[in-house]
Amino acid sequence: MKEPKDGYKEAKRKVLAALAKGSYLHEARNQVDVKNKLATGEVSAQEVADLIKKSTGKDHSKSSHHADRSITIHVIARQGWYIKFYFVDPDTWFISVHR
Amino acid sequence: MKLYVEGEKGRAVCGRDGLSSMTFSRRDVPFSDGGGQARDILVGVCDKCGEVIAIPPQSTPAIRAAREKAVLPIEANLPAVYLDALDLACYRIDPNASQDFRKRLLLYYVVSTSKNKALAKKVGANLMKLDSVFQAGEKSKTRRRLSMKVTSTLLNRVDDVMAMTNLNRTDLFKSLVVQIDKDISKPAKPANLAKLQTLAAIAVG
Repeated sequence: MKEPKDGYKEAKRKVLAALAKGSYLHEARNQVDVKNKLATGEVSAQEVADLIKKSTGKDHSKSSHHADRSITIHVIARQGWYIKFYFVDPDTWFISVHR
Repeated sequence: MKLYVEGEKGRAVCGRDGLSSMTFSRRDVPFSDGGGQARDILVGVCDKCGEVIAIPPQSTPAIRAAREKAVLPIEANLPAVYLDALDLACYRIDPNASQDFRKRLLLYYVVSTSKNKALAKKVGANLMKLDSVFQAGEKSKTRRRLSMKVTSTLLNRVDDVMAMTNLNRTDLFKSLVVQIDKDISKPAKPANLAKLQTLAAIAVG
């Protein structure tokens, strides 16, 4: 069966490509969210990519963005880390990267 | 990597306006935990509501630098015996140590404990078997305030050690003082004395 476009494998491929290329942004709401440790520089893009590479479909869940229900939010929970992101082409957007 | 510049346009999801256009601009942006702000960083601003809705990776080094500088208060109100025991250990290490050294010694133990599971286990159990001096001190009504300012990184370490030891902040500081008392004041020849004397020399200087 073909995986849906917003499935885990496609999300993993796109987020890893974005981290490698640096084509990502962090979502903000008038503040620097300290739960986004990639934005604060407490973890590097490489470290986040390494965690995502180790993840499997079992570590993945999804929901809808509260401000636009058509946008799928992906959550990868691996080794105590939560990585929350979505795509607004051509960019990947991180909401939070925290333990 | 993509380098964004002031005035550049993009698309983003605004928490208030949904999918919107944005313009990159420079702003002072506060940290969500109230620990200061990153000044004059490049951000994406919603064209509809004017709120900061995006942060590009190129702003991360400035955010990190601001975060390191931000200081957050830590306060604990402890039975006086714990502050006395901490001062005694400082005196043992260096009779000329400044009062500031007391905080450095305690934070040195926070960092050491965060890296050492065996030590964390000991620290987690210290309050369950207090010696007679600390037991008597617990009964006294005299309390003293321990107050210090730390970087957010160090505050995260304190939170890590609280999680490792299953202690709240006040009990963690009490337990670390008991450990310091066991390591430094009680033994005839404390194990780490030379290292701690170096730490005190830097604190005095």
